[in-house]
Amino acid sequence: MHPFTLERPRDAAAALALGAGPEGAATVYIAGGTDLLPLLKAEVGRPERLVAIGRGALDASIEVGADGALRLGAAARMSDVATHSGVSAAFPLVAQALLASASPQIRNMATLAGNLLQRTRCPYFRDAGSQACNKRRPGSGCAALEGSNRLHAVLGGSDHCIATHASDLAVALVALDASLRLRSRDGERRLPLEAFYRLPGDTPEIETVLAPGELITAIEVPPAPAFARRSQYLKLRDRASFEFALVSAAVALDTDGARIREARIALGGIATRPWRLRGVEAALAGGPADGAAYRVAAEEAADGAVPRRHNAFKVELLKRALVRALETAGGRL
Amino acid sequence: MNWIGRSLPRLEDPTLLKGGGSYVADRIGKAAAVRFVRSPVARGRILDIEIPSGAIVFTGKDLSDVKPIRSILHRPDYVAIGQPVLPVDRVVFSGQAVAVVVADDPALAEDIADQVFVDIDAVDAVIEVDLALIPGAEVVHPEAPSNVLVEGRMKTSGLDQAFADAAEIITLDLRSHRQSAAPMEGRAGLATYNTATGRVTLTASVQMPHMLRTGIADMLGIAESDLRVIAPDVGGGFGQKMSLFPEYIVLVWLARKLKRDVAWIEDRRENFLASAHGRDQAFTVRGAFSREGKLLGLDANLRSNVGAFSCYPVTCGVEPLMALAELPGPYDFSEYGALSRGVATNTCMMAPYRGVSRPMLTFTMERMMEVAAKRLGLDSIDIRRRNLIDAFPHRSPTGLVYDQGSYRQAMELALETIDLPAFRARQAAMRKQGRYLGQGLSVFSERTGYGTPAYAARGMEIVPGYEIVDCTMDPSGNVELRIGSSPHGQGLKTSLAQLVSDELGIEPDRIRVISGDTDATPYGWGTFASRSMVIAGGASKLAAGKIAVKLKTIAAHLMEADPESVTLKNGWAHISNSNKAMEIGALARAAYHQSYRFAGMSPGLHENAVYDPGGTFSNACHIAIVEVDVETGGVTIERFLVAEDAGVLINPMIVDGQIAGGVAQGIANALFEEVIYDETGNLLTASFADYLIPTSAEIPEIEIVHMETVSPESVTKAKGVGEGGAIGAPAAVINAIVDALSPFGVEIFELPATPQRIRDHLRRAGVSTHG
Amino acid sequence: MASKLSISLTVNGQTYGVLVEPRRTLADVLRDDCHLTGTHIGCEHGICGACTVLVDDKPVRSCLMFGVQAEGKAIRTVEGLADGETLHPLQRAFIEHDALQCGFCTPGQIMSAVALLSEGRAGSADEIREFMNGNLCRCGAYGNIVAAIAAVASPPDGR
Repeated sequence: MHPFTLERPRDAAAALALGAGPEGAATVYIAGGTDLLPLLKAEVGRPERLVAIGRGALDASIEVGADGALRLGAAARMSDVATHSGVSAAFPLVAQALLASASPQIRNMATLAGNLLQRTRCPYFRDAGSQACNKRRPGSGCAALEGSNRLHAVLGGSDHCIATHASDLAVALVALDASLRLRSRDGERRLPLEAFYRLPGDTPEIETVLAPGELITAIEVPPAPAFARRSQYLKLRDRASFEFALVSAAVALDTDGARIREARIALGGIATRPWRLRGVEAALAGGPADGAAYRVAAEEAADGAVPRRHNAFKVELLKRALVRALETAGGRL
Repeated sequence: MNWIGRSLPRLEDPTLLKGGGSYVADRIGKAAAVRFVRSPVARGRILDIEIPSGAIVFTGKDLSDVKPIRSILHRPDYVAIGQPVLPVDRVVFSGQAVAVVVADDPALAEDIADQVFVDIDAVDAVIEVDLALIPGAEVVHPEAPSNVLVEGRMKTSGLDQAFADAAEIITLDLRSHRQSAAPMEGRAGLATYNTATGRVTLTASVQMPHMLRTGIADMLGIAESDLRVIAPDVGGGFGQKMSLFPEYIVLVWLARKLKRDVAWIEDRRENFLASAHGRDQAFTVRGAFSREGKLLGLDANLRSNVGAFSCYPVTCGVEPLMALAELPGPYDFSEYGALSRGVATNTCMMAPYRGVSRPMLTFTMERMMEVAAKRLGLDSIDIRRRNLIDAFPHRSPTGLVYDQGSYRQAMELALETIDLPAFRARQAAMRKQGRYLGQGLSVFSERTGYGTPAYAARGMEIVPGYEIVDCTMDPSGNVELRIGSSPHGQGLKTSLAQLVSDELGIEPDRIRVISGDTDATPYGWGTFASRSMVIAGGASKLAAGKIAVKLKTIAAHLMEADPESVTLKNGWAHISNSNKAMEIGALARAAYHQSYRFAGMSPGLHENAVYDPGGTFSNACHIAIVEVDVETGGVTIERFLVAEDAGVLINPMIVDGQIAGGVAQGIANALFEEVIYDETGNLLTASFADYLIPTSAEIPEIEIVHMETVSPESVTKAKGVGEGGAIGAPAAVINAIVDALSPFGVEIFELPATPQRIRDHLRRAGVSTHG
Repeated sequence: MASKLSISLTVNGQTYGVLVEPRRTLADVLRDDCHLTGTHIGCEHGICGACTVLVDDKPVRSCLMFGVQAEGKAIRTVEGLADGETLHPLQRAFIEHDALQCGFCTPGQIMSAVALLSEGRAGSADEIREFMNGNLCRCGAYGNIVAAIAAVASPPDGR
């Protein structure tokens, strides 16, 4: 691991000051460090300065407001949120997505914001040796396009990058229309999580709209009482436990059991960012809550999919995963 | 009180549980840190290696006086390849060490290694075993233009007739993908230099310390007495740590050259890249069956991918030649023909991994039996009943002699325990609900505890097999047992103590087993091939037995009785039919301090014994019950049963632990584990995130029932058992998956059966859960 | 080379003053600077769990934390489990149930198990397996590890 200096600011203002201005441009913030350390050990990125933020500098609170909205501090630990009774009751999709992630030890260390900002698992990205990777080294090419791309995206990719986004939490939050609060030394802003992630296009090295010197301070999820009882986060992977998704589906239904009023659907593991399926949601809205309707609606889920040599199986698998998740959420299973 | 057969808690445990284990990395102290620079490409010519100025870095040119590792088999069809410790001209696999850095600490060594620039003119590599055999394929080593490093053939005289007579001929193509033993502790070595004597001590995480000493001394051209090798606590091996790796030779060379202590602790990526792999095999097998299901003859074309080098000392012949010799397994037939080849490719070298070829051999025969049963309209249990060996000793068509076993009986016991009819009823009911459960079986024999004759038969230059054990009782009556075997988690110190306890009539905690230090133990062969209880155990029993004779003689003399009437038990020597007794400690003291009284007997209590048996076969039947999710291809194992016959169990708890541990690896072999290279020879599975070893959530409770067939081939009456779990489990799991998917007619001949492969089968079978 | 930071770590109730580079992981600091080598490193990438220690009673991957991040927190390692010569109930149970073979993953297993018990999550064998799935054991002693934990969680004679 490349040596670096470590700053440990006492509060958010000090942390933001360290990231501001021209000297701040190369600042890398570290909270739990569970994604950053393996990257540093693999020499993917060699920052000169790390700024440690965590409970001191950032909010770690977990609150379900009187209006039913969920407010999560960026530094809240995954395990604390996953086991919070208010979250489990009102936003079970979020709790499920968190419990499907990583391992108990990692969840104890990792923050929500860190989870949202995690880098892709693509082996060509994570191998700083000789592999072509536009994300890690812009302009060097994409080894996955013609190489081993079993774990890569069938949606949202480009000729420059087809790496999937690996966060389960992001998928659940995108399904629930979550927003982020961002803060820099110069002010605050708020934007939908879905708009936070960029498609790779021809600049895959720029993954989010987070500006230099900006930090995520909070995650806000609008009240979703109608969806709470019928939601499901389904994660399919090669091994039963502790692994990144081949395909995942976050599904929440506002239904009386016979008909669906509204649906919220997002997929993970198959796209370069969490993939909200508004077309499928519209197809289901007002329709029956049964397997036939799910299967018809799921056919649209893969619209625009570009299968690669080794990941064509994901096109069918994502539809099956979606139907399975809908059936579970709808109460049929 | 008998200690054999008791599940004595392991004497090793308290220290390990308190964090007091002493593995190599715990001992490095102030040693300098060593880091290897490794080739990023699989094949190419080394043009230049640029070294940052001021850094201590050595390349192959600096080590020109070190001999290449050259593993030898005396057979005409074996091509010996030299493995340079650090290559000068060319690289032959991605991850091959090409330079070595020495620095004050590991972080610094890594920093410097990153700055070493290796310029390689990379060319196309050959990775897949069957592609390497195609004429015109890239040649890995010029000495073997066909890429075949070893080849074995045989054909019995009646084979063609057997096929002519067959009512049904079944041809199968099977594939086992590459595996890695992936022990929790990677390779590690600490070479310390004694400035007074010039002698080096290498403390390394290895399974065969004496062999390492011999090999390193040979390659460096020094006397073995100039080198001491210590295997401390070793965090798992499973075969991977029984080969001589160039890194260990470099470590000793560095210590001697720099006259300082040096330490190398490999990281997980290096272990996946550059230690050893196994089980990358492709088999094409034809079985000739009679209408009644009798196997008349078997013809096999076996290909084993042995990687870029031939492991030392057992050679790259270990997988292919074992496959050739042992494919018939527990089945009784006389006509057999096989061609078995070890094929070189530009990948990490193959070395034994728990079971070696036997998991694939068992997979092959068990799938063959299932397919034959279906084809002939027979029950798959009946077809096995018709073919399992049930008269002993049995001579296989390959000349192996199988001692008394219980192949049929173990199968019947397993079937009885699992209650197959009840399962079939449940399976039918679940199918109506759209859930697919299946049951699968495997029956196999496990060749264990074999001594020099077996290895000599292969033509090995270095022929392992025997064990010498030194047994000393001190004047207090406590015992020191020095063994050449070298444990890596098997609880040998406990089970050997139990054996010796019964011989000498003292408690196991009065017996100290010393292993893993070439200065302190007789020359031995370490732990591998399920040998320790048979061979080291046998030698321990024999050595202790000699001391028992002396103790009885002394007791008889001192208590004026007949030596035949002396019994050693609970720390005392008793004279039968009397109340005369003496403490064993008193006898021991007399042996050392009153030796003049015992005419004709040497003073003290110090004996050794050698044991070098022909070997014995243990056997087992595995049954797996699984559920397959036809939409995702996911497999859950609901139940796993082992009916095992390993003779007398010295410590049943330890035996069960070995079986369960082997089964866990076998289940993972069947479902998850696969080392994957891309076409350019780049390793894609270099971490635990990509190479999926099982977690607690994947492995169910393993049920084990035992039978006990005592073999005259083992002095301890124990048979070996360390590898059995890994050998039988893959076949049982795959047969269970096939049974679950039988409504769809899916047949599986590939390991691992990942969800994706299962889904592909279902899709090809036209399975749709839509509508 | 980046300069070293002087930090104070509380491990098993004892204070260690160490001088470390920021890039040193907690696992390395515990092993090399505090000389507590019971915590092992199996993969340095946070997957195998051999390096698990308790930080403020929660099991964490010490290979994925910088040593400096652990300042001011209560760290507990395997060396702090036994009370002098008296083994912790989990250590005794691991011996009785043969829950270890080579011993390399064992300290991480047992620290995760301590947390599992203190968090009251050892309800069933399945629950234990689920919680412990972040600790790999290549010797495959999972069945016995689960049995040992279950025995301490619900002792047969109600002790």
